[in-house]
Amino acid sequence: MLSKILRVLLLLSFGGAMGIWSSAYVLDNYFSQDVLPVTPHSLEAVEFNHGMWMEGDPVAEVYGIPGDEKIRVVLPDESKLLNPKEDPNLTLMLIDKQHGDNPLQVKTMWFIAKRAAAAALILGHILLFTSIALRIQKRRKKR
Amino acid sequence: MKKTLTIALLMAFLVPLSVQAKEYSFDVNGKYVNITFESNMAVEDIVGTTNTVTGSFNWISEEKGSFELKVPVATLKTGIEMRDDHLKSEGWLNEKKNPYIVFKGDKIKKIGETSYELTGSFDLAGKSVEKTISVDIREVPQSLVGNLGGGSWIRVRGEFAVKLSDHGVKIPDMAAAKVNDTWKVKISLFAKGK
Repeated sequence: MLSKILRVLLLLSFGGAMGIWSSAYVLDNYFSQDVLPVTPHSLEAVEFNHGMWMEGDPVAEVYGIPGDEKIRVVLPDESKLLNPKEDPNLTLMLIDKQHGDNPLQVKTMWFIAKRAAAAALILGHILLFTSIALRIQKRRKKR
Repeated sequence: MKKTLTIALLMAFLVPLSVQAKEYSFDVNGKYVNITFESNMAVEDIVGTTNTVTGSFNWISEEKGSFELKVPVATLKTGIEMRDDHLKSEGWLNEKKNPYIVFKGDKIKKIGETSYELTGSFDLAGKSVEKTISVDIREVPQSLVGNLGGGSWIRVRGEFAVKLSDHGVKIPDMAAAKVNDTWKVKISLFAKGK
C-alpha cells in the first residue's frame, strides 16, 4: 500500500515539475506579447497632447507615461492594447495602477515556475530515494 | 504706421513660443496630473502612480522664479493594495509622519528651447536632498484650452531618479530582490496660470 502511494506521489512530483515547466514555456511562447507599458493619461490630457504633438516628438507620451523598456506580458487584455495612429508598429499597453491593473509579466511567471518546478523535483528525488530505501529494506526482510 | 504694424505682426510670428512670465498652479483636476515611479529588478518591475499634486510655478523671467510640488504619500498606488500599505508604512515612506513628498526651490536654468533645469530640495520620508531635475515646459496652444475657459496653461514633463537610501529608507532583506534602491520618477503635469 505504502509503495503504491509513494509511486503515485513520485509520478505527481516529477510530472508536476515537467508540467509547470512546459506550461510556462507554452504560455511564454504562444500566449504572451511584448508591449510598451504606459500609465495612461486621461482623455482630456491625451487631447491636449494630440494638439501639441509634432512630427519627431515621442509617440507613447501622447497617451501616457511610458516605461523605459518593453515588457512581455502573459495573456494581455486586448482592450488595454493600443497601436497609435502616429506609429502603428508600436504596441502600447495601458496599465492603470490607480484602478488596480497589474498584468502578469513573463519574467515573474518564470521566477515562480522555476522555483515551483525545482521544489517539485526535489520532492520527487526525496520520494524516489525513500521508495528505493523501502524496497531494499523489504528485500532484506524477505531474506 | 502701417509699416510698424507689419513689422510687429511679423515679429509676433517669428518669435518662438515662450512661456509667459506668471504664476501657474498645479492645483488642477487630477485628469491633468500623471506621475509614475518605477523600480526595475530582474524578478519584477514595479510601477506606481499618482494623479494628485498641489503646488505652483512662479515664473518671474526665463531663469528666475520659484516652484513647489507636493504629492500626498497616501495617493501612491502600485496596483497591489498590500504593497501600497507596505510602501506607506513606518519602515518605508512612513506616511503618518511624512505625509507629503515635496520638491521646492528657486533655481531655474534654461538649457534648450523648451528644456529647463530645476534645482531645489527634494523631501522624501522626512529627509531632504538637493536635486536637479530636467523638465520640458511648453505652453498649451489657446486653441486647445477653449473648453477649459481659456487662460494660460503649461505642460511640464520630466524624469529623474530617486535613491531611497539617500532619504534614509532601507529596503528590508526580504524585499531586496524585488525592489530597486533607485526609483525612476516621471512626471506629466498641466498647470493653469493664475
